[in-house]
Amino acid sequence: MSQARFGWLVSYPKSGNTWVRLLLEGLLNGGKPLDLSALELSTPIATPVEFDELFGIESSLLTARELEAVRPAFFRLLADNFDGPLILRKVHDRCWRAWTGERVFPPCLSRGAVYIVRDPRDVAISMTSHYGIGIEDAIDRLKNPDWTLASTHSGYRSQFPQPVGTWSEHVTSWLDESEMPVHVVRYEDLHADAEAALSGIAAFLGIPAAFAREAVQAAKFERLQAQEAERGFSEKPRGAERFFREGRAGGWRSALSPSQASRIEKTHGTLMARLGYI
Amino acid sequence: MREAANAGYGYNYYGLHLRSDLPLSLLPPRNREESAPDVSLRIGEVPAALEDAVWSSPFVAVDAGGAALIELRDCARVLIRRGKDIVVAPALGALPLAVEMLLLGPTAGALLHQRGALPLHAGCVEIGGMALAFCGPCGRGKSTLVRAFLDRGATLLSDDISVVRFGGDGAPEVMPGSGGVRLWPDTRAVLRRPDETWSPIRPGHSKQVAASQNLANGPHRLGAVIRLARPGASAPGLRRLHGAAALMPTPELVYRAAVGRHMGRREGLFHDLMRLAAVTPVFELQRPHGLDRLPEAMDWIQSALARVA
Repeated sequence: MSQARFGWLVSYPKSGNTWVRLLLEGLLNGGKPLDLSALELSTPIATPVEFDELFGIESSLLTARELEAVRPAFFRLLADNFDGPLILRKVHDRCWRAWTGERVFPPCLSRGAVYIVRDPRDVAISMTSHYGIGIEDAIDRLKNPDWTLASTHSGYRSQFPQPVGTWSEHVTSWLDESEMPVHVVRYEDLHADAEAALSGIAAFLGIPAAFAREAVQAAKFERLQAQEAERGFSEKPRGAERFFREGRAGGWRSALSPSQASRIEKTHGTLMARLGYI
Repeated sequence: MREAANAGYGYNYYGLHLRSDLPLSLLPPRNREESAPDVSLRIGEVPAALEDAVWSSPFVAVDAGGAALIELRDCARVLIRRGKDIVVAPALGALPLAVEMLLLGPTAGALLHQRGALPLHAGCVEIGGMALAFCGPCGRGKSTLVRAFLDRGATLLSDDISVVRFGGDGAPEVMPGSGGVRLWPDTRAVLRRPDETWSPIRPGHSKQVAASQNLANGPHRLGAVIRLARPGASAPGLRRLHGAAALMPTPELVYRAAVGRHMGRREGLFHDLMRLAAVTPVFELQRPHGLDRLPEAMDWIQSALARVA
């Protein structure tokens, strides 16, 4: 069996990662209705629970430095313990190296990365409700080089620290990746023609796309909203009203003031132009 | 001095009589005249690797004979053999408490699996004469519940690893183990008492441990296993589990189940869990969010325990 079995589903937060995970889930289960509570099992993010079992020691006994040093080994051990041709994993980290110099997402184990990118002006709006912050704070966060998810040590974290960095850094780190294939999907294109975008992702990952239409239907935004309203969704932050909020592209045009939009364009203009956003 | 060191220290180590070169602050002491020790812990040289390792991670290795080598580079290297010999080589300048955490956690796990024991991944208290085991992988709130029940007058049997032994009548009993409760800062801020001393489990680590003053002095009959659910995965409540749902997945119930499997304990552990669930009620607890609502969940547990007792 090939060693290169990881398919990374990567995005800056609030850029459509969960939607793509659901679309792939639909594709893999033959287009059947989706169960939001099963999503963590099919495309999970790396967790301390998994770590403890794979390493035979509790990650909570390790210092932050020890933990970072073995992040690349985490995926090697995971691959050793996983049967099957493709290992799908959700990723919000930028493409980075541990302090040891080792790649956290080892190219030799990677089939490739699906990189989902979204207009940062829409990302900013989505961040406000997800993180319970104001729009100005969201715009600041987009340019914060130190932004790291699950970084604080004030309590138990169900995920490891994930360095995100600025929006531009994040996008660049994955788009300019040279040691593994990267398939870029624009959220806006996914919105315009989800079936075509999903078929493209499936071809890249080597998954049959026979049920692309059914998968798109199963992951319709209204259906996800209805299921969240009925049964909840464990990935919703505690403070947020709901996870599946609007799911639309271009909402920034009415939600951002011209000066707010301009701040984002000024900071991230180069990348936005490269991606056709301006 | 030399004579004192040779005599060593005696402890109750998860139901085993441990004779140790090192003083350990979180285990119940044991009179060394009372019986021959089951386990010896000595300071000595430990090889850097196992020659015929059948499984290894950057921190743990297991060889074909079931010996285990555990290493945290700035802390200690530990060799565990035949379920009775522990050799530890502390790193230069290692914090004694950090070495102890390694000896009470992963080292004990390997040794207990070598002995074919059933180490639940659970914190356990005794209340009303019955042991109550809070079971689950890291982060589910085992120590939080232990700590909160201590404030309701419970005594501590063990934090994090609870060894179950079946008595002559087949009744499961939990052995006393680690008497230190480990908490993260957010929980500590709410549950700490002014007379407690908290110390980092590793230098600079935000998780800290405090020795409990209310230690159980012997085994107690296990009254119920409370499995702690993944937050957000279900609606708050306490529900009884039956059949396979009570026992699966095994790694959520057994401490370092994978290490046990590499020592040939796959079937044995499952058999022991079946035996346990046949005579002990198993519940799943989904706590309401927030430490302020912890008493509510504790009430559910105590009511359920009263019903099954």
